[in-house]
Amino acid sequence: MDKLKIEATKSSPEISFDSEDNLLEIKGVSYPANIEEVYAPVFSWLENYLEQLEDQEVAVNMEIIYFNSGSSMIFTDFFRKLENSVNKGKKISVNWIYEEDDEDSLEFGEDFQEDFKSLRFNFVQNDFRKLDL
Amino acid sequence: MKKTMKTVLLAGRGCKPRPADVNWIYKDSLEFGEDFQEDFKSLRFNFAWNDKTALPDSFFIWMPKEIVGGDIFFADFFEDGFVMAVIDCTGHGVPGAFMTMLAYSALRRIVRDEGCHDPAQILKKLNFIVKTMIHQNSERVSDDGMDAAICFVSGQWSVDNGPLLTVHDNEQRTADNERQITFASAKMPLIYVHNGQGEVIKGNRQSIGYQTADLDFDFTNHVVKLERGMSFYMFSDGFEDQLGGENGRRLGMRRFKNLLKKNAELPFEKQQELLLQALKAYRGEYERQDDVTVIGFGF
Repeated sequence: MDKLKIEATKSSPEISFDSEDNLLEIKGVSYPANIEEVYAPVFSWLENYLEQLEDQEVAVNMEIIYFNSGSSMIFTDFFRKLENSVNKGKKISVNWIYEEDDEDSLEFGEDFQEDFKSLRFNFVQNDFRKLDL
Repeated sequence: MKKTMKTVLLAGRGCKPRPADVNWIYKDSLEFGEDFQEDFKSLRFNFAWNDKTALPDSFFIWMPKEIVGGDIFFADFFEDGFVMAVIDCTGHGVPGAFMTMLAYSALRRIVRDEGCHDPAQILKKLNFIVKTMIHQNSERVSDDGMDAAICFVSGQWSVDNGPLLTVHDNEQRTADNERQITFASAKMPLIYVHNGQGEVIKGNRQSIGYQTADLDFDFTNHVVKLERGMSFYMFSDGFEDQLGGENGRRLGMRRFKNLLKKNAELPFEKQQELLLQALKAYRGEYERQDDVTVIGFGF
């Protein structure tokens, strides 16, 4: 299946989903006005991907500097779909990447972990200054 | 027509809201739309700039990102104290504006008409009304809701005679006139500063009105005894979420809390000014992402 690549905008993240490497990355900020439009292709890609997925290990890298409450609902849906797949035996884990000292970000990730207990979250510190954002 | 509805409502006081009541809210919301902005302005005026009113020690920052915002605040005064609320609705444009009107109207009904002054109960009722209201048509694709913080400050109050809400010194205090603030929230913290210490009460991690919102969820009341010199802050996430600084990061809760803590001893007008300055300085060339609402008050 094709890769999914959506470029970042001022208010939406870079999304790059790769079915060959089994690496799903969402990176940047998320507060788009047209939130459903932005994430619709993400969910339709995900649905197809999860359907064909067998026992490969999947890594989901979430590196979100800021997300608004609408995006929070979107991510909740996203994690719910991943967790459902985990419950069906798929091997998916989330790397929640946050900047050192950003305790809010860490907390947001921990909140998601609390909501989706069977989806494994790894909390990874990163130095954003080294990234090309 | 309104009178009839009012009677129905009064008859149902103290009961769980029923779907029939919700239709009343719907009509009320539409009628209410016209007066909404004006009402809001006068509330703001009453609070912040009329020194004869209840909370001389207070400030209000209310800055919608666009003309139509998703943040609202609400206050209502009673003989036994006052209710204050901040609500942050999702959705934008017309749906967003509709959500704020629905929220305001529902709050007014719960607090004023039904006489419910218990923050946790108010949230539960609000959850019911909002959820039932906006998800009546299950075909709806989008899922809107709100975060909310409600507090009730006990104490005598008179609109005509100005502030009767005073915090007594310990020796004067009796069980009857002890003042306290009761706070409950749906994903919206309260910060208070006392003796140079900043405390955060996080509230419940349960939003209101979304399809996934649990109608049976019981919110938690947090009670803080009021003492002289305490300052309280209620706010939407717009301030702490502002991107800026050197690396385009969020201003963040820690920075926000420190700002409040640092300035808490100053007059509230001055606090407001300093908060706005700090926000502007942090934001720099970045755009505003969200509505910003901060309410501060002290005794």
